[in-house]
Amino acid sequence: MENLAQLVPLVIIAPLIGMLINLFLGKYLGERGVGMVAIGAALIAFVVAVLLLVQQTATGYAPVVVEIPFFSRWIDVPAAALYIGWQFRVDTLSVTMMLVVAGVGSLIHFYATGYMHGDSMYPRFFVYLNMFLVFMMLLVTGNNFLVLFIGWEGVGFCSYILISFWWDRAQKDKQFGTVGWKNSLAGRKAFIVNRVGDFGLLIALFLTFWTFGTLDFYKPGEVPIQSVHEQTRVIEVVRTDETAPAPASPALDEPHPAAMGVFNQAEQMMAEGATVSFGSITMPIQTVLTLIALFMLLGVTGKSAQIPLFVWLPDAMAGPTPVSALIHAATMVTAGVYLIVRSQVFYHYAPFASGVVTLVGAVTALVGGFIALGQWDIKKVLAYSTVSQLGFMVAAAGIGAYTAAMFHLAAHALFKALLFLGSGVVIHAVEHGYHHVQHLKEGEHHAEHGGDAPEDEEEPFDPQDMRNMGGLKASMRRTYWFYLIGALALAGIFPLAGFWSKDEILAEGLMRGFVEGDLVGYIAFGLLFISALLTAFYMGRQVILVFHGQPRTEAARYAGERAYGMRVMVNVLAVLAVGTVVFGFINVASGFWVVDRIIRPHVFADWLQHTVVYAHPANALMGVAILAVAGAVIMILAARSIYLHRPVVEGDKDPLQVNPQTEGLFALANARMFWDEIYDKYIVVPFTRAGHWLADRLDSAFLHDFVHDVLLVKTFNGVARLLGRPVDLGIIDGAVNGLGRLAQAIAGPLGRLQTGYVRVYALSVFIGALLVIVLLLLPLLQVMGGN
Amino acid sequence: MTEVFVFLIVGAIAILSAAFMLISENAVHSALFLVLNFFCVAFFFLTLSAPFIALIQITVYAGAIMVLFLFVIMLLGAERVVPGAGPYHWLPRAAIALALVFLLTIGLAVAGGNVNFNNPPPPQPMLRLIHAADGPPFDVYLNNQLFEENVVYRQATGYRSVPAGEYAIAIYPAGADPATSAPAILGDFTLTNNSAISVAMLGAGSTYTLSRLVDNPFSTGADQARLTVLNGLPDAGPIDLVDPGLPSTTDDDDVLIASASFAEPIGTLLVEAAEARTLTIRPSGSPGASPLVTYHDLALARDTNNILIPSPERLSTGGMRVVPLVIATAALPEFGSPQAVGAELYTAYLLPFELVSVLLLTAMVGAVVLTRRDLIAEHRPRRQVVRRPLVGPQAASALATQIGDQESVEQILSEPAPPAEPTPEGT
Amino acid sequence: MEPIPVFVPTELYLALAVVLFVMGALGVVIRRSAILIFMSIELMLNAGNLAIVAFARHWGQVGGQVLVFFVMTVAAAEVAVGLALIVTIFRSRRSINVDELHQMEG
Repeated sequence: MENLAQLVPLVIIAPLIGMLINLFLGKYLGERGVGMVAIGAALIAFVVAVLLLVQQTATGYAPVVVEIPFFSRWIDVPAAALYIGWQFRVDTLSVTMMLVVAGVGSLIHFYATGYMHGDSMYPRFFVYLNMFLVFMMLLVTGNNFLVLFIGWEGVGFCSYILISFWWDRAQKDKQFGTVGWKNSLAGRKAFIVNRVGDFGLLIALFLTFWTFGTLDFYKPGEVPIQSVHEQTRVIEVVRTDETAPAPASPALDEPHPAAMGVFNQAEQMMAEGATVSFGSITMPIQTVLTLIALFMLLGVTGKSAQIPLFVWLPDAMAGPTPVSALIHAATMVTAGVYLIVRSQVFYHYAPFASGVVTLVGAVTALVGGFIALGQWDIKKVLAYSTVSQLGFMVAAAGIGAYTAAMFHLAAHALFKALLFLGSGVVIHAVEHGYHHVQHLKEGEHHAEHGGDAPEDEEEPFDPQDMRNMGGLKASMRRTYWFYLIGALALAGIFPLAGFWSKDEILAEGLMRGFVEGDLVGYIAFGLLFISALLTAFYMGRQVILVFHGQPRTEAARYAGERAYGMRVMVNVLAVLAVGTVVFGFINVASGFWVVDRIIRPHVFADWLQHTVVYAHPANALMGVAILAVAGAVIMILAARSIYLHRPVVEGDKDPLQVNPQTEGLFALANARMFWDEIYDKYIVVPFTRAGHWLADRLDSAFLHDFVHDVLLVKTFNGVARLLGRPVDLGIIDGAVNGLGRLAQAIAGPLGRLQTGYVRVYALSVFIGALLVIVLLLLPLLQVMGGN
Repeated sequence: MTEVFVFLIVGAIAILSAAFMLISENAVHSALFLVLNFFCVAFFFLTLSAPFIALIQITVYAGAIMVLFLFVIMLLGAERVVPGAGPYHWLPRAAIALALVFLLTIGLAVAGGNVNFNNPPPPQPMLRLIHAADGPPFDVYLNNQLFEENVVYRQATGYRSVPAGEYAIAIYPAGADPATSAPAILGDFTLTNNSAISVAMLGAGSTYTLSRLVDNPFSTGADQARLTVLNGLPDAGPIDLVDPGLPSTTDDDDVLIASASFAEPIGTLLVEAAEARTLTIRPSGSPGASPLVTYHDLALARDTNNILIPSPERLSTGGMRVVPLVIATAALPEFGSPQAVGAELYTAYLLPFELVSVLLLTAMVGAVVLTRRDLIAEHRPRRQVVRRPLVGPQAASALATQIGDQESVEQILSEPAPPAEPTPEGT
Repeated sequence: MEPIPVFVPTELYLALAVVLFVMGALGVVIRRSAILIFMSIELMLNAGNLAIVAFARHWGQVGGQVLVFFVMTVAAAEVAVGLALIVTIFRSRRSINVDELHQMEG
């Protein structure tokens, strides 16, 4: 059972092999083969994750560190005592993340085989997906911050290439009309915004290394100090190389590698009240931890799309829908939450930073929810919803409800993947309907005009615009029900997964304010409660706009879920829907009505608590639960009353838009609260201007025109002319030509010696041999002559 | 002097046959003279103690290779040498003059007495150790240099060459430091060239005796084994080696080796090789006495040197018993014998051997490939002369642009087009 | 150690080897038949072998005999390839007179 933990490298190796196979052989495998390889790789990772779950349960939740022998001293800088090995950490937290990533990942792989059917870059897509799995697993399994960071950057890169996957696809643009570069712009935006966040994370890592002299979470065999007080656990160290030599005693002048991981050192230094010096500045450890936590938060805001760096996520919906579901809803964007939960010790001792985290999360939840109200694009609504839900998770982590954050993370992964994949089915269906309509039209056209080429230059049809949908319930019955389950879960309706997780966060927030008298708790609760209400409203609006009423376009009328590849997509929806219904019960709050009598409460919290030492199981606040559900139901009914009978008023406007009282609010939400415009005006434009100045003045005018053209080129030309005429032509060419003539003159007579007759050659060899022998015997002959 | 006469006669035959080979008009005669020459060389190999090489010379060279030559000559019908003089009439004369100069130079150098033919150094003495004393393993030091390490009881080490001279031998318990600990036994002896010495350590308990035996490590060349006795019993007095199978008409008829005193080397006996022979040891001069120890079914293989060392061994109960100890060594192969060449070939020269094998294989493949008929072009007496245009196409087109008419330029500047079927000139 | 019997001095063997070698060399230069040239080369190789074996006896080293063994093997290989070449040349030119083969003149 213990040895099962040795399997953990497979969660990286399997997708890696799948990726390599598809990369080199994808061309020859065909769609079926490529899909099977990619799905197989993801499934192997999932099976391994399940085995690790079994292993953890069977061995008393002891964390295991697995070292890869070849990489055990992967980075080795003796001067700085920087020793970093590639170690895998198997504990309840990383196994949870592995299960989420591999589980949702496998389902989305299945889905993508249907969704990407017929795409010209089909193998490439699956290479990217498997590569994403590799890096995501690297992120969640690493035992130190550097490995985590490599995964962090790797998933960022995968996100970039997958957002711009359809880089050549035409898009509408207000300014330029139909253009083919909007997708790559979206990818670029995501990449650059993330770099800002990664800068913060890097600073946090530098500070961490300076303070603790290592980047390992825990050394092999080390137990979190906090948990030692609670219970004695059996800790085992698993080394894959049994005969590893004992570490030699380090030289005295050589800095010693730290004996403890960062978290235990942090605990110890807090207990001792230690200080850390940075050159001439000395700070108490708590300040340092606060700084680390804040810089880390910057990284989190980038990766997990929090204010102020959330602007990339909505644009990231330009990627294929499976990508949106896998990377930009279920897994990668939650890496920030994972980072905070993993670094809970830092945040525990940095209350100020935790407060900032809470506020950032709560405000993001509210802003995301508000903007989602005014979007027309089906995926944009979900994207802002994701921003909002990530805000929930971050806020939960901020108030110390780490279990709640992880629980919401896992639950959200399920139902948001369900919603995204459902929206993908809808988009696919509408697109098919559109092509069908085009086909019919062309037929008529030909009939009328006798085969003349169609000259209509209408703008491209947008299959993602909810104004082009409506009434899809009739033709897409199964999709509708699964989508409805996802939407209700997101709105927090009992007893779906979203209810349990969201309710836990709200209750924790209120408890924080109530019990500890912390103002932040109240603010968080307030903001999150409003966001929860907004969530219910915009999800109600979306479901009604998409599925209810009458079809608003011909495309929507001809949409259906029976096209090739749709079957597998809808089946994946079914699996996720079942998960959404069932998942919430693994972490039932204690004291909740009768449910906690039937089902064991907070199983998930107990499981996670073995790693996340500062986590605590939640108690239900029945009042909050009832209030939240009631509010959600009211908001859904409100959305129904507004949209069901007149979903879109004339001029493609929202009913709220024509109502003078709500007109302004809707415009604000529709314009995304002008975040992008503000960034454009105050950051992008000045930056571009500075760039232009540097390019025009410094680079072009000074460096190029003056330094290069005048100084370098002219001087060089002068020297070259001098070297060319007298030196090269005269001396060097003369010498070479002279040598040539000399060789010619000598070779002529010598050539006659080569007669071609073997016997003459033999004679010359004979003469040569004779000469050599005479030379050798010469000393002897001379002595004889002397005699 | 007989040998020198024989050498001169055979040498003369060799030289004459070589000369006839050179001047024969018929290639078949040349080949046969060469065979005769090879036989002479093979004879010299025999006299130079290289029987193996001599036989190879006859079978491979004189047999296989020369048959190949004859076969090719017959196949091609080339036994008659083409008459008529070729170019370079002076070649034979120049070559003969050069050959004479060559011989003269060497002859002068040798006749001047300046060429130093060193006499070969005599072979170095060879030494080995026999541990026949019931006791712990030992390290052997020769003139304070470690010679053999960890020699265990009942073991004989292999022969090792050492320079001739006086030696002080010291034997220490295995692993002991000679600087600090006392030796178990010390001894002095002289080693001369051309000898093979076994130093046996005898005795039991804490007192040891060294015995020096002169061996003949070489093969007898017959179906025989060497047999000798070394008395390793300090308290038993002289002993006899007895073959109980021999008919004993008088008392001593069955004694093979008589009166071997303790640690005294005694002469070597040549016996017929046998797979199993039972021999006994009994006190000397007492024919009726019961044997001290019996060697049951002793294997006396061909070309082995067997040293029988009856030696005492302490029992765990405290008593003593006599054990029949045998040191049997395979004889060293004789110089130049197939065994000696083979041993060298398969040990020190294994890699060259493999390389040469590969070379042979390659040559075989090469010969097959070379003689494939489709690779050989048809016989063409002369190279064909292809008439080329006087100027190349580039120059022609350049001229054409200047003149304005390409066809006429080509006609002017080039010879008439070469015929499509080039006719050989010689016909 | 048994001494190797020496009856005829090594010098005589060397002298004989030199004479045979020179005769072989002469044959290479004088004769015009490719096969005879080849046989002369064999004679030279034999002379060399004789010298090596004489020296092996002189110094009591079996290695010399092993070397002779290798020389013989290489000679066999050479004969195989050489005769194949001669056969090929004969097929294409109907002659094995080496004086007729001088296309390689410079």
